[in-house]
Amino acid sequence: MRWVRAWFMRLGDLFGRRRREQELSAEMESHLQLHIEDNLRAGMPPAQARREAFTKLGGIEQTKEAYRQQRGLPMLETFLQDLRFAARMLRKSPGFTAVSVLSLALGIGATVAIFSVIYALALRTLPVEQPEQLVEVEQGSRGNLHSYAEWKLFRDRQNIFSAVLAYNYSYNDFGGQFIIADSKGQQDVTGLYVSGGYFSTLGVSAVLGRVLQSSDDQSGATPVCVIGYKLWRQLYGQSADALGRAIRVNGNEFVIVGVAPASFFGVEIGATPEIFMPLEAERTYRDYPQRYGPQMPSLDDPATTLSIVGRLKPGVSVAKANAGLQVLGAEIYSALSSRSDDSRWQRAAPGSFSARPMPNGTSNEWLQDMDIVLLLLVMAAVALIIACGNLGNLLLARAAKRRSEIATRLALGASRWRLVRQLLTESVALSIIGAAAGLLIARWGSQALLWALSFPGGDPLRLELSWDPKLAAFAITITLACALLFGLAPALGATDISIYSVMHNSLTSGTRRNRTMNGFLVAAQVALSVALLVSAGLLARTLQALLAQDAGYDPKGVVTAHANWPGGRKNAQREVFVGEQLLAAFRSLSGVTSASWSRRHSKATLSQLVVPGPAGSERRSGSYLHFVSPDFFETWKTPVLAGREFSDTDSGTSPPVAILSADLARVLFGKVSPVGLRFRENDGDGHDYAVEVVGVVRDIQFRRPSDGPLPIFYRPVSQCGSSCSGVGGYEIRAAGGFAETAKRLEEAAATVDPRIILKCTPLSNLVSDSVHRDRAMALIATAFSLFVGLLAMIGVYGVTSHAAAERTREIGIRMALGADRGDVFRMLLGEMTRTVCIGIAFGVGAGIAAAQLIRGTLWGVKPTDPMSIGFAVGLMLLIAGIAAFLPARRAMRVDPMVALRYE
Amino acid sequence: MGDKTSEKKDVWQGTLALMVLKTLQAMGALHGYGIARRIEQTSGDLLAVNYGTLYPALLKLEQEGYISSEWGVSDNNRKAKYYKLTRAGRKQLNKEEREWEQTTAILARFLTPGEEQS
Repeated sequence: MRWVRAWFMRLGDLFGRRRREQELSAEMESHLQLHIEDNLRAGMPPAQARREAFTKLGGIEQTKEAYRQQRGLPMLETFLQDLRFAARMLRKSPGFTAVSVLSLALGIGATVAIFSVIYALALRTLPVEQPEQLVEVEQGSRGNLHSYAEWKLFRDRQNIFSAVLAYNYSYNDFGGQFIIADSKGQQDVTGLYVSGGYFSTLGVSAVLGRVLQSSDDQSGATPVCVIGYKLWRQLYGQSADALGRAIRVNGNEFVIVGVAPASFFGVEIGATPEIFMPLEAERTYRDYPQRYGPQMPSLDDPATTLSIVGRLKPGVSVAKANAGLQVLGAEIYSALSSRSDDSRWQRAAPGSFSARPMPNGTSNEWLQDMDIVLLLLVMAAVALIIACGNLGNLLLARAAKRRSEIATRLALGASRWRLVRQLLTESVALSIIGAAAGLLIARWGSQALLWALSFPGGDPLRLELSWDPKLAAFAITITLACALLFGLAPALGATDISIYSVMHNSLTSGTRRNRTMNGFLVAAQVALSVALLVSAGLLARTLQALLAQDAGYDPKGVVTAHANWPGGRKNAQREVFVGEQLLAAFRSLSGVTSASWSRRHSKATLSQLVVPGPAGSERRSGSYLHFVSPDFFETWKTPVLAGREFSDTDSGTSPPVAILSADLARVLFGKVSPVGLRFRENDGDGHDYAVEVVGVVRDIQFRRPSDGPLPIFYRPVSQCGSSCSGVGGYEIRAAGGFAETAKRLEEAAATVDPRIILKCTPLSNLVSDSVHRDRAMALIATAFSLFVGLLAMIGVYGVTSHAAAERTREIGIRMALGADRGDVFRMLLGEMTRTVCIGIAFGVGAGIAAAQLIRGTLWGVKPTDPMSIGFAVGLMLLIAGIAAFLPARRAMRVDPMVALRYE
Repeated sequence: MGDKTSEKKDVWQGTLALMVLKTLQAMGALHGYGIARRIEQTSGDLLAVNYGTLYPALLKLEQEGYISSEWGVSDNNRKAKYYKLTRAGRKQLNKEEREWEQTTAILARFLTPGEEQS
């Protein structure tokens, strides 16, 4: 182990270099003096004594150099020396440095930003204890969805896992959002109903107070909740007296018992739950469908909305757990399918269970979208390649400028390897500076990406983007790969020169090869940019086509308001009364041109509509049912194609009537006008009505327009009887902006009953939500392809200005021989034009090929859409034109006399 | 950086190190010039190459902790850097001496086979 000590000593020798040098000189000096004195004593004449001492030592400098080799770490020292030299060189040409650093910063920044998002989505493990032990419990084809009864049986009978948990998003009237209110006002947050063992199974403990425990998740327990860190900070300023406070959630009081850690977001990637309540609390507080009454709340419903996660016992494999689940699944099936209280248990009973590892958590369907991940990955790769291409180009240009310096150093005896190392050190230094700047861009870029991926109205997507070793390793790897791969060729090229030719100021040798390489890199950059621009154009045109599609209504100026009234649980009659009062209050507001009220069926299942045909045949269609008030279609501006809208004469006591959507009318009645005809409605609970059709309206697009219309039929809200739950929603067409209208609506609602919680959204959100995915992709692709175009512009600019600078002398000669400025200009631009055109040609081909990859996303536009291609080509020509024009113009203005004196 | 010379130097430095340690054991603290002279005297013309080669070897020994150095004043009032053996150096010297004796003993048997056979 002696050598370890020796290395440490040598490492220490790197410091205090000056003192050590002085000491070495002093030692040499004393050695010589001692020797000379000895010689003098031996009787030599002074001059000879001196010479003999010097000769015997073998040269002071040689000795010192050998000594230095032993001292310190020569490899490291030369590296540091190279680094210092590199820093000096980079400072000396700030233009080159700035352009390369900018280019690298953009490239590395974009790549890291994209990678960190993909990493967070797919590769990062959950911030919980031993995430590799967690498995999702799936059943049959349904996936990880279970009924509450099933969960209870599962929890009590399983002995496969060391712990199990269940969670449930709240599918209430507010679309999974809780409205929480404290003294300062109300706001929407995402929340979860969780089982008592939720936190303990995940191994997450509270940062303040305690987590939920199984005693909280009991029927009749005090309603308590755990809040998220963000909510804690926002409502209580991270103060400890948040504990024990009551918070109103959808109008019901919960006592805060703890705060979850800041990094905790459950097991679903991208989700932002800020409040956690026991599953059983739902039994106490949720607004239940009136028809069930308090004895049958939704927890006892066969609806399968819960997700179950188990923690494997140490040493138990997934296969072994699956074997146990087979047995357990059969047991639970027989227990549930024999229940006679509801016919739907038969369907809801689980098929077979299986476990699926989920160390990285689950992500919702839209984030699992392969198209988007693919798009992001391709973009990351392209950004990096183009940025590296720029670096390579700039280094090539620089190597050409430094030929005489390099030739001199070679002539002075530097080895080629030594010079290559020096040049590589420079590109590494550049990359490191670029990467450092890129990390700032990455931080900002990944936030921008999240913004683009989030739903505009809803919660922003939250992903864990902080640094961890794997992410850092990725950033370092791409930085070094960039520097070494793209720095090596220029370095080898630069040092492969004949000293003779340089000394003779020859214009040939290495430079032509460099120019070919430059041209290749530029063409590749242009091709990639064009391919991306074409794809972005296609995505943008898809979005345009989707938005241009007539959605069957006009959302401009319409506000939807969802009302929650806590009194409704107790009295359905009162609920209708409050609902009618609200509608009247909204209608009477000044500036409101029309207002309507709509309620949904308490069960979001399809109704079966049956129309008797000739000769005993039947036509059937499943259809969604909406209860709407008169003026509904007036407010939405949905054209009534035949018959009439509902009116006040359609009441609870008049015969049942319905309005059909055009598509449904076609399915049920064919070409015959259905007005005045009847159909039978079967709601799946054994209720069967004969309903008369009074009108047909245009199809309203609730989904992405390309998905086609949903079969919908409308009934008057006055005829919904006990089938509706909740007060429902309102649509108000009013003059004035959204915020202003929303405020006035809230004020009006408060005059009806101050306990009413109103949630307003612009109706246009329905449109933007339906094309959200398309907009996200179009936005990301467009922003990114412009960004890549900018990088390519830097590349073209760099190469043209380099070519112009390198050929200054040639230009001078040509001009002296009679070429005019136009000739020079054409000569310089001509070469670049050829390169760019080759790039564009390849780019268009690649773009069309890439369109095949995203074909599933494209709609209403052909992969060879001339608009998209034309735009991409035009933009690229413009970018390249500007980038090449500036340096070419500078070269054109060169004075022949100056140019000939050049060098 | 010349590969061939370094190999040769290593061999030379191996024995040189032993000589330095032995010299210091025999003479006590001594400066570089003194060590060089002493080795030259004892070994004839072996160190006739250069006194300079001694210094990297001294540095290496010091880095390994076998010797330590200190500035002092020579008999004739010259400032000089004095080297002396450390405890680890003494141990190392014993070890190397033993190894050297073994090696030479083995070599001796090879080089003078006659005595062994008879």
